[in-house]
Amino acid sequence: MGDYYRGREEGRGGGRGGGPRRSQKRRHRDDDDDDKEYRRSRPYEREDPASRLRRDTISIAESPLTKIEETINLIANTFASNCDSEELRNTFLNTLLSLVVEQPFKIPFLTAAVLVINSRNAEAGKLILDEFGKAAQAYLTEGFLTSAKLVLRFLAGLQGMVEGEGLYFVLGGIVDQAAGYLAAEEVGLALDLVWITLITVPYILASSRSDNSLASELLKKTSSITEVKHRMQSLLSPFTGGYAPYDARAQGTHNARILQLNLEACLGSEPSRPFHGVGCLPRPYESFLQELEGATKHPMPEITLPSDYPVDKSAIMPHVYFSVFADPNVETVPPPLELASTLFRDAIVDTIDTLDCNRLVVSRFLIEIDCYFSPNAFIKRAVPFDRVIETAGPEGSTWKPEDVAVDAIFSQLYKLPGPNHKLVYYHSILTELCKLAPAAVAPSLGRAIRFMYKNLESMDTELIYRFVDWFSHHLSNFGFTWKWAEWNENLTLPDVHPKKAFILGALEKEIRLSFATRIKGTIPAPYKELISEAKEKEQPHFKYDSEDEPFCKEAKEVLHAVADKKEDAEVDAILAKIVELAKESGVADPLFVARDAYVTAICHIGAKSLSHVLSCIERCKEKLLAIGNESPDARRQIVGSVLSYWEDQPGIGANVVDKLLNYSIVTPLSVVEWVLHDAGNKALSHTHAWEMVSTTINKVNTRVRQMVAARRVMSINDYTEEQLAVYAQTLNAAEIEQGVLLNAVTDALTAMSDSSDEMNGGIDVESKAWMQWWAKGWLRAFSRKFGVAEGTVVEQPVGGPSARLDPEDMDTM
Amino acid sequence: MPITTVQRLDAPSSYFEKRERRRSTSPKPDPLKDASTLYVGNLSFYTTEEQIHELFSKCGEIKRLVMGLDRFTKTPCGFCFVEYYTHKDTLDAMKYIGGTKLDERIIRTDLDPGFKEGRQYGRGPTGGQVRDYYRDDYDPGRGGPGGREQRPVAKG
Repeated sequence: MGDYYRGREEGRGGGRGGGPRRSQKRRHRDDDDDDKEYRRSRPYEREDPASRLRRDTISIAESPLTKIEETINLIANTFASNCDSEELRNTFLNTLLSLVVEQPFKIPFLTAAVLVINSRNAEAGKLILDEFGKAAQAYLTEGFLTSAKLVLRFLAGLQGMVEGEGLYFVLGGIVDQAAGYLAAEEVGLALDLVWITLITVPYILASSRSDNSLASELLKKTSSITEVKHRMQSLLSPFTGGYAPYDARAQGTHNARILQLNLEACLGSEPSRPFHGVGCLPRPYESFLQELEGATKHPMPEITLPSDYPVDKSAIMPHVYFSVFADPNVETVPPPLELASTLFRDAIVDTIDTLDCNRLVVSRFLIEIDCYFSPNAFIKRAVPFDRVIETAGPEGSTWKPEDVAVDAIFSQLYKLPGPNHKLVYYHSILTELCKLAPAAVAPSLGRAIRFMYKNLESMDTELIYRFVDWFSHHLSNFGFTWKWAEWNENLTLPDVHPKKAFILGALEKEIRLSFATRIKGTIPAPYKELISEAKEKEQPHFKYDSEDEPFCKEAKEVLHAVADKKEDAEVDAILAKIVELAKESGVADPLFVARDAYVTAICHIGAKSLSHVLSCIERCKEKLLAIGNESPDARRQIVGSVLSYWEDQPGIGANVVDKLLNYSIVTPLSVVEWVLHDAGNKALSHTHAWEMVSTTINKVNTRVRQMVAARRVMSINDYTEEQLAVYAQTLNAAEIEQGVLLNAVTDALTAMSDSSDEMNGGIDVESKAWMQWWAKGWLRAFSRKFGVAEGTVVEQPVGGPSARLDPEDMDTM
Repeated sequence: MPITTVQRLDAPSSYFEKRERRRSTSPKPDPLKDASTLYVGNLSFYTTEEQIHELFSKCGEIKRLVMGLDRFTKTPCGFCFVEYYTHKDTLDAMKYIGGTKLDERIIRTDLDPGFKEGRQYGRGPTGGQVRDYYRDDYDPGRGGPGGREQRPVAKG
């Protein structure tokens, strides 16, 4: 029996885990002893040298308990003396290639090991160097620019074992290309290429052979390129109105420019502290310097740059600096104009981006970030904020590792126009960090939250909503505990003030993840009245149950007829009766009343759950479509009836509308127009209103983008001319719809942000000012979503703005 | 490019692997290759569809949501199926939502080959999920004590 099961284990090979499954053990207890011995001996004694080397390499620098010199020595010796074995050689090379692009924190430690390998076996060193030359070439050719950047970083660490100017030759070539792209007005790609080049330079400077003069020459070439601004840049800044909660030079500036300035400062003068500038990078090769001196140098492997990069150039947006820590008294993160800031941020962001398949691993890396930089670069973990100065002493670093990690995560969560992964990924990392090291991370998050709250009035509107979304989701993972009392004084602000709107929005979203009674139990007394009693009811009341409601008797008949699944004719008869009665009583729009009765009835029947309302909509689809087809106003009214039924739980109403949109019962325009014209003048400060409009617009934009992408690969060989013509027509229609939507949004928001007195029915001056503020913020956010640069006149030609679309509206807010 | 130096969180659990292995010996196409459905477990009996929708729609639009029900009482019994429009959204939910909290409970997600009528019912002896029959703790979110401990209520 034992043989049988082991056979299966081997047969499966390569899968996850590998050891015997517990269930099998339980069922075949006679196997127990065998299994135990097999497992205990497996990881260490029976492991072949190649697997052992792979394991040691992967875990390099992870444990502060193992001396890094010993690990490097071990890896170097094993490879230098066994690289005749093809298996070991391939295993090691593949491990290195994967590690470099998957775990960038480890690159300086890997390059140190390779330098030592080279000094012990020059042939082995050359083998690795050439292999990475090929990898760089391949990544560049295929347009995997982040991977290319990381491979170049690895080669930068090997500068000491290369002849002549080494990597600078390649970097110079890339900068020349960047200049070319700039001339061709491909600003995004040009800045990206410069970024890739410049971020490699500090790693050369920190390598065993630094050469400042070549770096200076390179910087002279990039200086003018980094001064260029991207067309969309002013809309990508996280803060608006020229307000800078941190160093004004970093406000709204793209990362390539900041890096240029930081590098110039580094080359121009000695760092004020040993861990500043390039000094923040680790130099694990230093214990081997003597040995490295006599090592063989090799020619730099030839890397032919591709004539063009196969990337979507219009989609590349510059990254603008963002930080949630800018305490004027204690510098807990390096300021933006300090090279360490750029280096930390870059390495952390790449780690987060590439390892999204395992947020637990990412969180562990971030908690242990101090293992991967110069040992003096950070203050020790979890030092309380008020003891940082005292603990650091006059010479020590005040940079808190958890602040640096949290800061980098928020920079991605708040990246405009959109983050690389779904927002919820960044939520999940912050949650894991708090679970792993609550004492260190929770206070750090608290300060981040207070910083953002303090600056709400100047934050980009989309980011305010991302903040609400993250905050409520985060609290839902930690028992909804927050020190609400510290914001007590803001409760007297008008509801449309960004701070009050944030509080209201956060509570609303908390309720959506939980339920009103529970949330009421987590907040201090003054906050409880923000949650109305109506929210605590399981289902909204059916307004026609009230005798005061006009036509209540007939509306109830509609409800019963639909609930009892009566024939359409019977329902139509009652609706006709309502129209008749409404006409008699002189209602301006009699059809309005009938439609409202019907839609409200469907909402009420489906109130029990989303599945209920979906099946009810499905059942009444034909009739709903017919009602919607009556006129654009009818469609807008359907939206209104749903939201009015779900007045106290607008999140659910918004969901129902989204389903109606999928059935084409309402159109994107009806949703947008209802929010911007009918939802009341506070609407723009409501998170569900933002969600309705942004979800709808994202759907339209995504559809156009997908169709444009599909057309690009539609070959004339696979489709007839007629098919292509039909496709072009559909696409054109979609683009026209997009253009109409853009105009509707722009016109309505422009009017709302205008100071005219059109809509001031008894509104106080302060509220009115904030309403205009929201309108301006929405306008900015949606201009960005439609890819319209600031200051551009919005005039939609037929054909629409498809070529200039927002590359990422992945946000599923 | 596939990640090779760390484990992935969006791999299916051994549940289906084991079932498939028991059933046949010949290699079959992987039923989870394009899966767009998730099994979600360890929910509170009181968690609503709206709450589930609120959390899981953070990974993409949800096509359908099927609540798991006690096959006798037809009330929620602590699991559900979430169906997305795309495989990617499903994997993302595995990576970013599985193992986090909903309604203050750590939930479990697993890739699922797709909902079939009948699977919404608990398969335990008392109508709920099997695990609730065998557990020994007191879990107020899942009907209190485990199914074996629950004595029929004395009448009269």
